Amino acid sequence: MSTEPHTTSVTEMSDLAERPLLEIADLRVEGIKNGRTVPLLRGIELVIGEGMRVGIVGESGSGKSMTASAIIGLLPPGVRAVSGSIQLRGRQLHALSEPEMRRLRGSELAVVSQNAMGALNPLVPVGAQIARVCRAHTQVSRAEARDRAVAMLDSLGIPNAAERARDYPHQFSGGMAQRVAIAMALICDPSLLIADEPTTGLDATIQAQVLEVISDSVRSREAALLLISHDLAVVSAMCDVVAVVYAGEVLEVGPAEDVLRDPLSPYTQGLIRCLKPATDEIPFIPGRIPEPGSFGEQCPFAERCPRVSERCRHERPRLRELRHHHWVACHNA
Amino acid sequence: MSIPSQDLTLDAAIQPAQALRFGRVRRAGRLTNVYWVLFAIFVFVAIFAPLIVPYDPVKANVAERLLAPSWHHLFGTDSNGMDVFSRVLSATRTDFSVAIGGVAISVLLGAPLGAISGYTGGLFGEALSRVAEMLQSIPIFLFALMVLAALGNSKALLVGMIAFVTTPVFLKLTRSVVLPLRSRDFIASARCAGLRPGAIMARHVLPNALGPIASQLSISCAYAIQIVAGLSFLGLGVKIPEPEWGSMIQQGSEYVLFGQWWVSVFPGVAVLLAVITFGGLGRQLSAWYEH
Repeated sequence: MSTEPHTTSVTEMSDLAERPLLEIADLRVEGIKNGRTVPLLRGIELVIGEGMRVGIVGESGSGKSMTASAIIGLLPPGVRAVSGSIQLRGRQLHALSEPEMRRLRGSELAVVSQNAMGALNPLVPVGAQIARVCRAHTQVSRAEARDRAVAMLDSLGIPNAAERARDYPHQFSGGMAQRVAIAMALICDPSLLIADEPTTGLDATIQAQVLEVISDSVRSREAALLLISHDLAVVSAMCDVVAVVYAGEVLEVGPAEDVLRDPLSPYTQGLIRCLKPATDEIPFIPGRIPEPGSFGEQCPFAERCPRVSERCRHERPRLRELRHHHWVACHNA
Repeated sequence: MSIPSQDLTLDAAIQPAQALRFGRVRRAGRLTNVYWVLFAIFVFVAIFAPLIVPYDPVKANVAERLLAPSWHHLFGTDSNGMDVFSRVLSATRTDFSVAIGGVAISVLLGAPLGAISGYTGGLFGEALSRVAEMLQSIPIFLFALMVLAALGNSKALLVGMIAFVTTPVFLKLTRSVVLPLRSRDFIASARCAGLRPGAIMARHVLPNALGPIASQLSISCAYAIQIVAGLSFLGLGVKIPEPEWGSMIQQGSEYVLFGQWWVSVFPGVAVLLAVITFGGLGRQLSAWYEH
């Protein structure tokens, strides 16, 4: 694999955001599989502006969650970032020491994970868990932290917040538990909330509620949102900007409405066809996402692409701005 | 049956099973109380023995050698004319302090080491665990015989001995509880929230291990009492004439054949009761946290 950087520079893509908060450039992450190093992220490019809502869409195994882990600096064991940069307001994150990084987690970068119930310690009342995060990052008294936790729960629509704060996680329903997890993430007023499939495992009706809670709370706090989902419909409804990732690469980035209305990448076009079936037949994209490390310097989508050409199999397409603020990595777009 | 049932046959079929279940619950509950009462009595005696014993437990009285149990000497007297009742009561403090002291040291050492071993994982954790297994493979009585014979009899050494044997147990136990916790989402989310490793350990990891540790604590105390009494029976550990159950059993053993059973039997019963109490409490605690 060549280490030649992407032709698209971050500065170019940062036009997307007036005040860039988080800039990811050519992020490459490798893991070890059967004693062989395999690339998991193959040069992710993304810019998130202050208060902007950005969605990452992709199939499982495409590297969505890995990107989130890389941002907060908690990659799984055996996985490491080999090159590229992640900057938070111009600060290189990988240059920070672990204690410095730890101070950022929870206070500047917060995470809501998919399994809210599992993300809460079953032995500790929820209010205390939220207050603990608060006290880890701010110099406040126990009582003050508790009051803030209750106020946060209340603002996220948990009835009788003062009483519920004393309850244990198992006393909450899935949707309510997810609100608690969101409260825990937002308690220190982060600048970026990373929501990794926040509605997986919830009822459809509850999903909409939880998404609305996330959307409202992020907006009212002027925090940026990085929403990770496999659901293009959810992402485009929630976000200003959508990035479509595939096999560890960004195939398309652009304003949500443009991507949805006028998708440039054949992959995105396939996803949208699946979203709005024109006939009775359920559309699908034939084939499956390639295993990491199973392909070389080529377009990762080539094997499944309806518009594949000879060039796609030899040369990896780079992101280029085909429309205003709308990038695509495809030779034939 | 609180739920009115239309189907009488079904109702009848359910009843015996439920009756059995309630019966078992109640029985278990009563047993718990027995253990706690016994434990409370032991602790009370251990603390207040000097105030409640009728005679000085180490005062020899040649005129009253080997008297059978009577109102005067409830458990009789031994070959030195010492009151067995007073000695059994006083020995509670010796046995309990040595056993509990040793176990306390081992939990204070073993639990944090086990938590570190399980939480950090990796080579270091694995190495700690292997060392613990190595120590566990040493036969305790043989080892204790060697150490106590070489370094002399002392209670402090006995406490150390017990700590030495039980520390690996707590290390392995805590490691086994913490290891699966490491991959639980709430530990990951605590890390995502920027909590320090020490705080995660103290507030998220160890509390989850408390149940198993509490039950092991009790079971280890039962084991430790057997070790104290066993080693003292062999003449190691607690020095005669300090009252201690094991050495009293040994001291009385030569008279049992002649029908003077009380010198050995009463301290023997005390050991038995202490072990049953701690063992029973341990099982109750483990049933309680597993419920």
